[in-house]
Amino acid sequence: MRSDELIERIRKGTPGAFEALYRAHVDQVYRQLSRLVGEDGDIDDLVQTVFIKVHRHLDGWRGDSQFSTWLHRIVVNVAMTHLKKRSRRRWWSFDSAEDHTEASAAVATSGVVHLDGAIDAKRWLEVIQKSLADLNPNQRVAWTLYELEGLSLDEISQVADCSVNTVGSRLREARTKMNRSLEAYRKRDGSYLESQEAKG
Amino acid sequence: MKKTCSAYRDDLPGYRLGEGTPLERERMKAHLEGCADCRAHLAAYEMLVRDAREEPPALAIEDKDRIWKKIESELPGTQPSLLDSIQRLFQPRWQPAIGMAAACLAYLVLVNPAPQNETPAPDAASPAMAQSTDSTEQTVKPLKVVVAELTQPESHEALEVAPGVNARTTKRAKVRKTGTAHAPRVELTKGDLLAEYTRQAKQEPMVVQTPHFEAVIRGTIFVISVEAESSSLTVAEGKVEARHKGMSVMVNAGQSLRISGSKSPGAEASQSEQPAAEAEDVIDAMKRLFPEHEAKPIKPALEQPTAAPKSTKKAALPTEPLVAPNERLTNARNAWLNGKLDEAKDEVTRLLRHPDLQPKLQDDARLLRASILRARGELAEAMVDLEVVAAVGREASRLAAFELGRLAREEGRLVTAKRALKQVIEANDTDVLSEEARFELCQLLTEEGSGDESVACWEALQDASDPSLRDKAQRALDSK
Repeated sequence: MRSDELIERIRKGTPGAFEALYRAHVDQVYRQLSRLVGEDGDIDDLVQTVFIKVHRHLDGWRGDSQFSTWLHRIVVNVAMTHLKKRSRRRWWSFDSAEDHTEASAAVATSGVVHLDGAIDAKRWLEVIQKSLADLNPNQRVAWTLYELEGLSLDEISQVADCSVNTVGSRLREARTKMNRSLEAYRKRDGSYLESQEAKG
Repeated sequence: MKKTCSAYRDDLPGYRLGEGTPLERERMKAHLEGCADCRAHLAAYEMLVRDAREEPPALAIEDKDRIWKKIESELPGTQPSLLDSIQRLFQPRWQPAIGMAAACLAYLVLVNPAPQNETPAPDAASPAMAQSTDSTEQTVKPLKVVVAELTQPESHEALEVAPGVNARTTKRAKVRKTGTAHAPRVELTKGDLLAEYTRQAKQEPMVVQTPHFEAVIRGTIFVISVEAESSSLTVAEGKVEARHKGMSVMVNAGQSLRISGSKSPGAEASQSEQPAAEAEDVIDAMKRLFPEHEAKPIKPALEQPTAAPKSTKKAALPTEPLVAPNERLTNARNAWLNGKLDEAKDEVTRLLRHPDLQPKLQDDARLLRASILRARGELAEAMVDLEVVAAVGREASRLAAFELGRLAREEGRLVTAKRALKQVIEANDTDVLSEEARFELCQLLTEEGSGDESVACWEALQDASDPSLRDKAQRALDSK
């Protein structure tokens, strides 16, 4: 059943309609949240928050945009709120940049890392996560939606409720930061990347 | 002027996606042909995006079901699709003895659907009603066996939840902590949990979520057992509210509740009985596990004695080997995160007495102590630490001022709250923290009834980068 039909049924109070809407979209919501906030034990709670907001604000969807776009906007809002709280909480928990990843800690102390493939791969993923974590919430959302989800600047501006210029500016800032993280990692130990490139 | 590699690299992410004018793209292409390092950087960036894009593992069906149950319980006015009403049975085994002792053990059973019988307001002391004629029988573990397992050292393990919670589970239990020190919450999907809960000041009621009901505990000794098709709750001391599908029942000391039902619609209730003679023994056994527990009104947590007679305890200032300040801070933080607030407070207080403590570490320690004190309900003391850090004019001062503003507002100290929130905004009025501080300030001004000042505040918030704050500002202005 299409989303707009389900929503009509929900508005009429048809039992089971909202659960059907949930089942139809939960995978997509979960995937989007996972990409936006990264590895986080709170993802289940965020999924819950999204659908509760959907239920509360369903009257606000008038069919003037795709339901999936409207839903995506809620996902982005929830993710943004969470990222902001998390960045404050991280400060609160006094993590220093050097504490974040095993990779950067090892590099900071020794400058040379000799590891087998599995550990290299793990550290590479940690570098990715740390690079994303270093973006502020606005930058992270812009970069994730553009680079990973493939949305256009215009689509992102609708979902994030800001101008196209603002999205462009946040994307540029995010790319600059990601570039710097990548350069720093390559300078210290690019052997894993080189080996992956050689594999093709 | 010749463009440097660094400048080219800024354009690489866009170049790989076809961005840029034809001339820019030609220049980039030419540069890449001559620069191996930039080519390697481009490949690395591609790999980063490719690996970041990797699909996260999909949600398992059980996880989707679990999340749905939580959503459903929070939706207003939702009724399960085929449950029309709930009928309560009350079957006293004894007349209640004097006081709260478990002289009477009764089982309350929720039966559905029976549309002709509306459920009255929940009151566990209401007279006996018609028994269910449901003939469904289940094999459920007797309460006596459950409590016996939870008493034997080899068949249970302690569960750390939050301050004020003294809990244990059977070893086969599937349990997950989903709350915080301030709002303890546990999800029990299988097995048995026995706990004593003494609610601390400013702490929310404890919640235990099972597949069949949600128990809201304000200060009691209780046991909850989760089987495949039903869950039961028995209260030894105090009272517990059990919520199920929008209805709630208060279970008092000496009473038990069992709710059963499959996940599919049309669930039927089942009834189990506990031999009357064993009930009192079981309840007494539960109470004996927590001899210090007494039902008492909520009051501020008592300070642990820090000064002890020299002959019997270690001195408050340790003679143990020196611990590096950073390490002491980490220990304190970990203790706090694990809910060991006394230990966390002692550790951070010792740290603050360290001679020549670096300013940044001092600030971090005070902020941590403020969090600990807040969790302990010692709000005035928490505000003192926040005031100190907010006043020093260092990196941590803005965050301290923000937390001080929020805490002061909660405590009704509006002058302090306004001053602190304005300090955050004046230092930097464009970042996320200032937007959140402005939001707090706008709410405060509105509550205070400061007409023009609150309007100006909400108008300023309309430029916030956070769309939800902009929404709230608009709504606030629309309502004026």
